[in-house]
Amino acid sequence: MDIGGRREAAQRLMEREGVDVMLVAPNELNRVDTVFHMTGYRGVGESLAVLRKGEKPLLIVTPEWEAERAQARAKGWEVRATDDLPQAIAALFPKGLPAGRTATVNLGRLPAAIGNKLIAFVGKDAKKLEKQLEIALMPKTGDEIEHARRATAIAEKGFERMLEVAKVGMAECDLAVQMKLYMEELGADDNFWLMTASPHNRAVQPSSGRKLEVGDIILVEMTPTYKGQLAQICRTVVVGPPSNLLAEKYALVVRAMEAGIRTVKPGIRMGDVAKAIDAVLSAQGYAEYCHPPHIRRRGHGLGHGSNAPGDVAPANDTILEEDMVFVVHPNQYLPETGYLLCGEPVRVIATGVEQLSKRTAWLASVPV
Amino acid sequence: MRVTQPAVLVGNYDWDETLVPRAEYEARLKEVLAKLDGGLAGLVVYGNKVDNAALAYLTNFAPKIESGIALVAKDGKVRVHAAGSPQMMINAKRLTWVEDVRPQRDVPKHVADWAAEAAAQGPLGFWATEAMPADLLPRLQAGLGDRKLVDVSATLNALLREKSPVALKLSHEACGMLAKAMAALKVRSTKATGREAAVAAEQAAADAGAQDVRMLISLSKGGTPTAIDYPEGPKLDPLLAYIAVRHAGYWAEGFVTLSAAENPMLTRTRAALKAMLAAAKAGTTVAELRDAAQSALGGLAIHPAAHKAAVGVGLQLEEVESEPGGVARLEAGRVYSLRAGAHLSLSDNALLSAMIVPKAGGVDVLWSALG
Repeated sequence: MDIGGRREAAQRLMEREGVDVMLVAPNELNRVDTVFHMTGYRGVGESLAVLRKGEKPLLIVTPEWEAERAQARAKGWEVRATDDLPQAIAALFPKGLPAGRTATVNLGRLPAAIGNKLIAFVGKDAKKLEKQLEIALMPKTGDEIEHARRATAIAEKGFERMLEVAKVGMAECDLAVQMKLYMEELGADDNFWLMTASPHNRAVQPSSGRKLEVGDIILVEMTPTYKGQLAQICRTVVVGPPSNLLAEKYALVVRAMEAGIRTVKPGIRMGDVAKAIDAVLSAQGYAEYCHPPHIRRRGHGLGHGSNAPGDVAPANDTILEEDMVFVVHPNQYLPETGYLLCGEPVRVIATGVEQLSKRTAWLASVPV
Repeated sequence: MRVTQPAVLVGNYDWDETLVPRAEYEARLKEVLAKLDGGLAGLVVYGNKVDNAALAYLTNFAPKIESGIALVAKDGKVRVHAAGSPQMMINAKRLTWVEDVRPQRDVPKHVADWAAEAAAQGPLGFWATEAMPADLLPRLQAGLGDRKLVDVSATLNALLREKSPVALKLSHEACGMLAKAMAALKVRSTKATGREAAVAAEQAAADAGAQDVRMLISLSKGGTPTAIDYPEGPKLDPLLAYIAVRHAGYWAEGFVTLSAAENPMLTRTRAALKAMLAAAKAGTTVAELRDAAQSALGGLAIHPAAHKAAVGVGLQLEEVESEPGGVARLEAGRVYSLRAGAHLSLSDNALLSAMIVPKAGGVDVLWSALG
């Protein structure tokens, strides 16, 4: 599928659902920008993708000065830029929207001042097609897969740089900002970056002003985006030499991850990947740590437009298909060591799995 | 101003008592409670990573991911709910002076439970600035059943516009960081691509202590600043840029147009900003500022990004005003960004701005693109 095919898939969904008009908004707070997913344009203000039966697809962006980039990114879409999104929609449909034949996606996630006006204009009878649209648009495009590779390469280089830069006394946030900037230099346009340090971590968190100390275990989820496509690697770094116990437990978590990755192939349930990871850890006596509150998922889909194919979790019945891209990360809490992170982005291929990262997680350390 | 929103707020948002003392928050809390209608039993305050002005004003808490709420009882007790698991509250607690920080799973349930346990009988107030999702208030109201939720944002947003001495000091400091970022941008842009210059500016702001930086630059020569969403990009002249930096919650913003050669568009825009600064003082109307700008621009059209000649800047990049059309008149002691710009075509634009604090008879300039 390419991005044009994604637009056609949305139009087929409209036909199946019996709707003539579909208004699609982003859900940026949940890191799911459906407008970007359909059009290739990620807004600085609110935007709406407007699909109308028999008409050219229309992208309405705000503010008024955003026209240039929207036109450059949203190939195949007519673009209009405005400072007043509800007014633009009202002007587009002067007789109102077709009763019973209108669908919306994510209007409730727009800022209230805009979303409430649009919801009132659309009326209560409009179909909500959030789930259906996500499923229809699920397959990754060839470009997105290539971008995931590039994002992975940026993440791996970022991690190498982090091992050079991190030092005792440096604040987590300062390290995080330096890494973010370095990855921007390499071409990243955003970064879902979590990094936290402690001698015994309970979770990975957004970084704080806490300063690194000898004996800290730094947990890192590096998730740069390249042209809007996310890729994630998860790593663990010790400040100073690692203990034998820590090395042994980290090797176990990596073994569990590798078992999960080996399971990946078309036709299996996503939940089976999680179960393969749990099996390795349970065999070593950690079954009780394979459930909440210690762990909720063993990975997740990767994309700014969609989280498909969802979480790597036992209950996920999604059947894996070729070209699905997600991260497998055991990210396990162990009572002896605390939370440990390892994770690799993978792509489902006809013969099984392609790991997008060149080097599998290892227990790294920074000298003191 | 609309800017790109990052997936996670990466910089240092920890509460730093040396920058914003506890007494400042105690005073703010008192003011908020004093402004609440006597019949309200408590206050629900919402913020998210995009817009957290109300939440940060009261608690310093800016959600680094997703959203958060503060629940304020009439006796002044405050509870914060932060996105993330219970194990993630360790770092969430560093973001605020509030000691009671709990994980946020189900906002309507948290509000309903708190109302039943901690709040007195009666309706609750609700305070949020502009990025609150449209579906939140109905969900909260549904969770509360018969107990009414009253949106008091319009009343309380007035407090965000007023600047205490602490807030003014932080705004001054943010403008200093902005100046450093602009200087780095200018130096780097003479030799590098727009994107590389933007990274250099961001680095300079971070080195100066900014907790957050947002950048927009021209996509093409002379183009209106926009998000940097592609790795490719040439060296641009003219390069238009917008930089916003945040310091202990307070933003400073600026537009610049960088070019090796003077051009009529830039010359006139410079004259427009100069005229606006000369006209600005406490009490100046935005219409007067616009007239001053238009007079200097001659027949050139005002750039759409400068249609609002003045915007209030503080815990938001564009503060919510009492008038729906935005700033009507400059008020003494507030912090504003004055924007001047001209637009002819996609590749023929100029934008410049200045950060000011109006006073009787003139303004204090905190930062200016005019140097």
